[in-house]
Amino acid sequence: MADRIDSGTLRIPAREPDFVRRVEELSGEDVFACYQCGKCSAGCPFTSGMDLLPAEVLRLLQLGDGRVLGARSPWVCASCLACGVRCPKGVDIAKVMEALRLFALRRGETGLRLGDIPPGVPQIALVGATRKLTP
Amino acid sequence: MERLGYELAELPRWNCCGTVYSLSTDDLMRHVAPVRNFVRVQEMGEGRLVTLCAMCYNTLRRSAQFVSADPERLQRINAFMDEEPDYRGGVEVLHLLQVLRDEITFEAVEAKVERPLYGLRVAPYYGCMLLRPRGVGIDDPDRPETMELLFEHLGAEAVDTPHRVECCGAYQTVADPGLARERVAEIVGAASRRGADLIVTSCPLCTYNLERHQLVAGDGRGTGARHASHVSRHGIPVLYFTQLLAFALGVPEEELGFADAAIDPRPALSQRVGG
Amino acid sequence: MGQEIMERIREANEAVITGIDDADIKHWVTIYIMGKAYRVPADITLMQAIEYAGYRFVRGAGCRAGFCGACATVYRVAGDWRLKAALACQTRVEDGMYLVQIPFAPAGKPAYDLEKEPPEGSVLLRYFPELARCVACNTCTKACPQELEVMDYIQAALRGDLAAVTELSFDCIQCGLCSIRCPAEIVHYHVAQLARRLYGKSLPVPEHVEERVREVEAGKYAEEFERIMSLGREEIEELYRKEQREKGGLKSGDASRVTRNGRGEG
Repeated sequence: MADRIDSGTLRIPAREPDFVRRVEELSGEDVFACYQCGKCSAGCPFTSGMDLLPAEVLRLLQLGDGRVLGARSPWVCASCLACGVRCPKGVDIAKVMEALRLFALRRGETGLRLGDIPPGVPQIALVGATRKLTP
Repeated sequence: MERLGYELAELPRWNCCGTVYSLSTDDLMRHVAPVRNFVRVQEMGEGRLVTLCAMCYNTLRRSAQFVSADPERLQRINAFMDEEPDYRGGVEVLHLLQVLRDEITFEAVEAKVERPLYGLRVAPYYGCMLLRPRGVGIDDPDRPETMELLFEHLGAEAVDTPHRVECCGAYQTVADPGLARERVAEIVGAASRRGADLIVTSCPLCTYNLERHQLVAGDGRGTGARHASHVSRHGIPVLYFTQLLAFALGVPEEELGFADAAIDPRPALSQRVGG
Repeated sequence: MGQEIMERIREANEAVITGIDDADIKHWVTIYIMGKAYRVPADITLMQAIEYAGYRFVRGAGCRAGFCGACATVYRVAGDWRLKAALACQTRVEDGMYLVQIPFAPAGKPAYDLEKEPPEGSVLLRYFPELARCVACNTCTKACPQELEVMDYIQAALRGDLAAVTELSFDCIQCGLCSIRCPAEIVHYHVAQLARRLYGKSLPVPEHVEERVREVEAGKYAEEFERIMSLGREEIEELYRKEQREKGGLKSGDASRVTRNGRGEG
């Protein structure tokens, strides 16, 4: 058993990396509250397009694993808030996803190219998409 | 609303609230648009702002809470908007469904029904922003009943569908239409299997997605095709709750915009209600 | 050497300072043009001050009458944190002003064929989807030297209300200051121009315009045109002044005030 615990997957750094603290600041959420029950992933309607399930996003943050910063999942998240109302630990995961998006957006990256917008989308969709997905 | 003895006044110089609430702790700028609308409400000498749209409701309601929770935030926004009178807080944001349910009451609505919707099978679709998060939503986030009760008071039968509180794809319809298509195929497919004549929404973006992606759900692209066979060939018409309400209250059909719907609701309405 | 430079300054700014002797000027202010201090007469415009300081306009000056939008300028006044925006030809110098001109707002204008576009609000969003990024901060309105409600017309554009955009943006002179300041990176003046063109297209052509076009085409004014085209510069200027007098006289602030000399004519 001791071998498995030391195998690396569960190793938690002595002090969380700066980006984890920054995600916590931006989201106002405690990612370490998550105990990996998976209800958020089970209820998320968008997992088919995600590379990391919502619970996995939280897990990587707990582990300080920087791969979470390049994940596609925060861009697929539609801020529908289903995860947050189901979390037994009260983690508002949509806020964590927003913080991860902001990480990239504030570096000038974009999740939406305005030239590629399908014709005829209504203002309400366009305003929402530009607010969530453009810097 | 006139028929219910109620008057709503349009907010002068209103601006777009932003449609999505900022979920970050440090993005004060995103609250400027909502607060500017609250200033307009204040200038009218009113204390309540009623929205028709679930996204406006969510954004405005949460912003109102956000700035009221911390005087320093509000002071910073007021200082930034130095061209406007200070917002003093206290504007209450309501969705029209709340006004109908809590103030006018569904019983009073029922008393004004001129065209009861007997036999019409209506699937209410709430989506996200009217129900979540807890404490902001107008009803239980998992088991809402506001629209069910309203439609039953109008004479219709409310069809219970499993995805009525699940996201339609929202603004991802812009960035990744395939995602929305997949969601809509599932939502509409379930309503269809349960024999709904109509899907009725409380959010304009849900309305758009449910209509638009129904029409393309069967085009073979995206995973939506998987579910396409469950959607009836002509699709299920999608109406806004106000359209169905006005129809039941006897507002002439020409005023209800049925002709603009992507899927014409009139056959379903006349077949069941008898025109 | 110093004499020679002064000569060149005088030459370059003849339009501004002809007729003014520095000895006659009692009040002076200090302004900073791109960080460098200059002592200039207190009662002149930013444009005149820039020329007085020795700069020669290659861009950033046009009609000199607040109408062409070429002389967009941003400045701060010492002791005030606000970044202000103005037209150089319409704004008087203040002591302690830090300024720089923004002769052009970098923005490509999308190519559109008005004949092919329907006069509908949705066209605006198709060419300018970034309209959706407006956060209603109102910075554009604060920057507008024409005192337009710029944010209101951007909100109207987002709603697709061409009539409201036209109404609210009608006095826009396309200086671009709104677009330089916008945190959502909207190009307001191009949006408004497209809205006005679409709205204009949707209106019926007034009868009097059609009648005048018919008259022009029938050659009614051909003779008069030819006479004017044959006149020399002096004659045309005299004709212009005569016309202005007939209309109610030249007012101070008219174009002619600064085109001839710094003191005006009238």
